Amino acid sequence: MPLNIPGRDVYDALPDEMCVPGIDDSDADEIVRPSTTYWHDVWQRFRREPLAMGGAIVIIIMAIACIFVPMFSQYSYDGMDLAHMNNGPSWQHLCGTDQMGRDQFIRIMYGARISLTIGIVAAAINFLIGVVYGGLSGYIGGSLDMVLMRIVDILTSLPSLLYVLLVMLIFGSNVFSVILALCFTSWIGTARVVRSEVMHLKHSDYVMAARLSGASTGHLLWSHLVPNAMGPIIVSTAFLIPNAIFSEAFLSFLGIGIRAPMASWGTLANDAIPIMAQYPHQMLFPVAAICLTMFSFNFIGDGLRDALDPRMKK
Amino acid sequence: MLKYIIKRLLAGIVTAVVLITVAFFMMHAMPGSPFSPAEQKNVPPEVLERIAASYGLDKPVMEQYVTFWQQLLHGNLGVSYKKTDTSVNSIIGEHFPSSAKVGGIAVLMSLIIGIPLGLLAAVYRGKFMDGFSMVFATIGISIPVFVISVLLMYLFAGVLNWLPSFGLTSWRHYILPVACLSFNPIAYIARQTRSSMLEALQQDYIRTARAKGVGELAVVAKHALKNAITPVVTYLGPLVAGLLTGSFVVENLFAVPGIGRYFVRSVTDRDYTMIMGIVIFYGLFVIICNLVSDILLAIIDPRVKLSK
Repeated sequence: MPLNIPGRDVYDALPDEMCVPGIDDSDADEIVRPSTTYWHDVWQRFRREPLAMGGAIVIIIMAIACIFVPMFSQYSYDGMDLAHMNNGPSWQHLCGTDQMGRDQFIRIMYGARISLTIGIVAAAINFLIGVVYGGLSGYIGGSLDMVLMRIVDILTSLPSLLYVLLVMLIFGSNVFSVILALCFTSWIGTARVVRSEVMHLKHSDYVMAARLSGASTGHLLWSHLVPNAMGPIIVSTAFLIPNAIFSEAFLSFLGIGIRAPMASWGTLANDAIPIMAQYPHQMLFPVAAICLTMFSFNFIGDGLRDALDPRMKK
Repeated sequence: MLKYIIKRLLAGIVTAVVLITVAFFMMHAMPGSPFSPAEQKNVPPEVLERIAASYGLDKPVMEQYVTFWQQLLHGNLGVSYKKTDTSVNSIIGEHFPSSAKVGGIAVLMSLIIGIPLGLLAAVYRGKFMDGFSMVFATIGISIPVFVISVLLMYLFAGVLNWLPSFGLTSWRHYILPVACLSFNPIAYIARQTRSSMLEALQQDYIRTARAKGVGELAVVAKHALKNAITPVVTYLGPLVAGLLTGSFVVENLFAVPGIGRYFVRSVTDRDYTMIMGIVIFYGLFVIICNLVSDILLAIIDPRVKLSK
């Protein structure tokens, strides 16, 4: 049955004054702006978090400074100057000198190198182990999942510091063994996150479609499941960095981590304890560096969490 | 309930066996021994051999492993390598009480301060109290315990000279170590309580309770808190274990004669029997605390049993 729709001629017959003046809606359907991607949105949200952006800027400045300042400085981390022991801050020595006349500022810069290296390398390794372990456990499931998760349960039932101490005992006190020790258990959080995300995503239609087109398990994991679970994975990795930095500083502070004359922030703080009453600045600067870094990374982590998943924001 | 407890108990025993085995073989895989001729140049090799034999180190590793288990099941953790006349048991017995006293008070303080802080932040969401406790919580989570310890020590023992910084002889000696130990847990508990309270306060049963005319205090304390407390209980297991067995940093810094301090010393001394003994003691303590908090959780929240 033909519908009784007024024909074009009816509209044409209307006088021009019937149009709404000043509004031309002929381009209402046009897409004016380029469509944004997920990562672009994330960046836009991250940019609006002042604390997180502040943290990121601090870390970038610190990274650039700790790479270049030691290259051009006249001081070295172990160069002693017995004529200028325990000096206070001055233009010559920005953060003063220690008991052996070594320049504190340059030692803090070397400490930043150690801390940032350990933080980033440990986080990267833990990210890889966590993604593979959690991905396999979540995707294959069944008895493999059972076994892998029991192993994780056993590992987590003990404080990670015990493993760290045991590994340090066997491999000695250096940057390599600190990283190795941290890789013992830090990946577990990431692995759990990846596992639950993969378990949740593997029943999605697009995964089914990919599998029907003959994609292998590895391809499915790497190209479909992990990229879609990237948000929570990045958040858990972001918090691994401050944890690693904290652990290293902690070990060095106890005298089990990095040894003198190498300068780690923990070592510097430890060296300053006996003379804290007379020369508080020797304690203050390394401790301030640790706090600043920890705050920055924690703020970046919080910001990333809010930016990657706005629903988590409280 | 019984089935759940038995299941947890079995898992705990498996973990303990794995832990002890790993600790044993790690200690025996350690390169170099305190009794090797290369390290003790001024002691005749025959004497070193005899010392090693007195510790059973001349036997095959598997035989040592079996003997070790036999000793362990009798509650004997061995004799220290460094202090040859002292057993590991007596050292733990001597140092554990100090750690447990300081740690126990710190656990209580964290709960007494942490839970109300998080509770007030959730109830007065967006107000001054919320901002204050969240700033405090962020600071508490970001600043490492040794930094806080050093700063408090410098301020109260160094500059102001109000509190003693060394030893554990009067009640005043407890203040600084306890404050340092409970700083991070307070922040963590406050944050956890706040976020689970916010979630609980939005539930339908809270609206029902309010609609029935239940007073605000009763709504918060009885209905919401009861359901929001579960994450804190989960956290309590590792917390109690960690604090009661002694913190490495705080005990070292404030010279508290506890296990944590002794452990660090035995690590730097490479006193292997001592390390192994403390690792096992510590590990068992953690496993037991986790077990208790798991069971406690199942009693508070019956859904836990079903999901696991």
